[in-house]
Amino acid sequence: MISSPQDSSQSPLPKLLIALFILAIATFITLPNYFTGNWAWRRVPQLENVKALKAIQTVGLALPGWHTLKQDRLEIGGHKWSVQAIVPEAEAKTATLQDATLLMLRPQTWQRDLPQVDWVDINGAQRWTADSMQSLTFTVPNAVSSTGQPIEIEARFLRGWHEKQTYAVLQWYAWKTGGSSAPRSWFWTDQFSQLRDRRRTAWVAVSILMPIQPLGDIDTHKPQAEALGKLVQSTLTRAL
Amino acid sequence: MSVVSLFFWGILRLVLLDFINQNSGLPMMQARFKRFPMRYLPEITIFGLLLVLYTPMLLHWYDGWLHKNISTEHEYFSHGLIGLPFAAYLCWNRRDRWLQLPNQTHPSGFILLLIGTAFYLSNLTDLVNLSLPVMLAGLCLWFKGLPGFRLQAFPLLLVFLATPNEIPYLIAPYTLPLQKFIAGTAGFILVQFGMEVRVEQIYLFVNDQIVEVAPYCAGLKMVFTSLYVGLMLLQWTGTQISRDRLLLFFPGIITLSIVANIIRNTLLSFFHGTGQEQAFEWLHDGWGGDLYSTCLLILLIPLLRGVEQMTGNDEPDNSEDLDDLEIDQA
Repeated sequence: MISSPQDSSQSPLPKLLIALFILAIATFITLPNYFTGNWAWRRVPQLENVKALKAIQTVGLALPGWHTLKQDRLEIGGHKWSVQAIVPEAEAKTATLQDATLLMLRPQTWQRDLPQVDWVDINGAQRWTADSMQSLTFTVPNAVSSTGQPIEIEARFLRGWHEKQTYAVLQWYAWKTGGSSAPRSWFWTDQFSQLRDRRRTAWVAVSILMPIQPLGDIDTHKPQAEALGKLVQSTLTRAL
Repeated sequence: MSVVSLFFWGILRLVLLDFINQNSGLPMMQARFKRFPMRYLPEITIFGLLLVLYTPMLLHWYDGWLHKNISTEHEYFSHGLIGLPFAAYLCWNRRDRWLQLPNQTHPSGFILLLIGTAFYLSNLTDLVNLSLPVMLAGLCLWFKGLPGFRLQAFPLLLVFLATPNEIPYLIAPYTLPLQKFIAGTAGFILVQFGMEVRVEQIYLFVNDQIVEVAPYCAGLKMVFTSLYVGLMLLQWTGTQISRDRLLLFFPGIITLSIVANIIRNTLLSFFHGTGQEQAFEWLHDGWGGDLYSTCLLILLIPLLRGVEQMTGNDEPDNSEDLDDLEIDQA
């Protein structure tokens, strides 16, 4: 402010040296990349345990205490889902496909596969009316460390109905250390794990469809949904 | 790729020639440095270091934007193809004013330089990208304080808005109402042409063919690009800025690009529904899409002229230079 315009182009030396020093450090660390080609955008960490994820996509998930009547791979909204008709083991003999719960899973199978509009895709595929939307929060024990905080899951709970069937629906994106129905929660977890540990956080989209009485109240099915949600989340965290 | 390297070497040559010309009359310090502008050595060194740091990144961006091999989200920032050279040009045009600025320092410059370096050396692509505007802003504040930052605010804004990040991914879930609106309107238009169309949420059923208005079809890319080009246009034409004009121009751009996108989606549904797959591919993935965007961008010029005429040219009291307006907002 004090100096006159004439000598303004002559920056004071210390100021200049500091800027040069900072840039030079960055340059010095970066320079080898010119020879190795190991630039930041090329060394995005790869997705781990792709095998386990692909297995979920192909054969579904074995839930303890539940029996799978039928399992199939369906394409919904351009993505492959594992659709599994499950019943409690006690009812395995008598149950029909009609009253089976549907467990739909869409695991991430490659790098740029991001959770996005999967709930809209399911709405589109089912062509149902979705109402009574609410959020359902439940916790499962921490799978990574037994002493750690329990994992909190914020899922969405709604009623989907058409002429044939009414479902109580529980949906969320599950990953090893948490779960949420909002893609952005996964996004920030993934960014943070990339930043800190250079690891990706794989996700699985979960959609549980429990058949209920026509246009029934889903609130009465909350405990059931929550119990099944906990079981699916903890089975998934072990599988990932 | 070659465009950007040409651009850089061009700038570097201009800078060097300019220095040599300016310094040719000065007494020589040493015979060895006869033709070398010692006076600007620090600036040249800093510019050189920035080039070493960022040339590969800019090449990566340009390559990705030109060949569409960058991620979908980062493709949203392809307006940087013209925005970044324009920012460099504006910055270069302001060099005399920059040199006349008094020598002062704002401490945040140092902090920004440190943050920029940390971002640059981090593991996250987005942070590495973000380090460019942070570093440039830091240099402005460090060498010329707030006045320096204000002087370069517009070019810095252009660089910042062209820095690829994941914001398009984060806002995609919120475009559902827009998708429904586009699907509904496109369906309505097709019905007017006597086609059998049924609309369910974001799906159009045309002759038993399903067309989905996906989040990335909602036209946000077009809105972003149009707004960015609108910003460049304001600067380029030197339009006197008033709040009235901004309030007409920017909502006008948004409306225009949404209308254009509805027409595009209508055409796509029409092509898909009537089995004209080639035409669909052309408009959806081929150069038809690029042509469509270019036409829309050209429409911004008459829009700006219209806004100018509507608000009139003779109100100097309300009008401000864009730079001043940015200072007000800063």
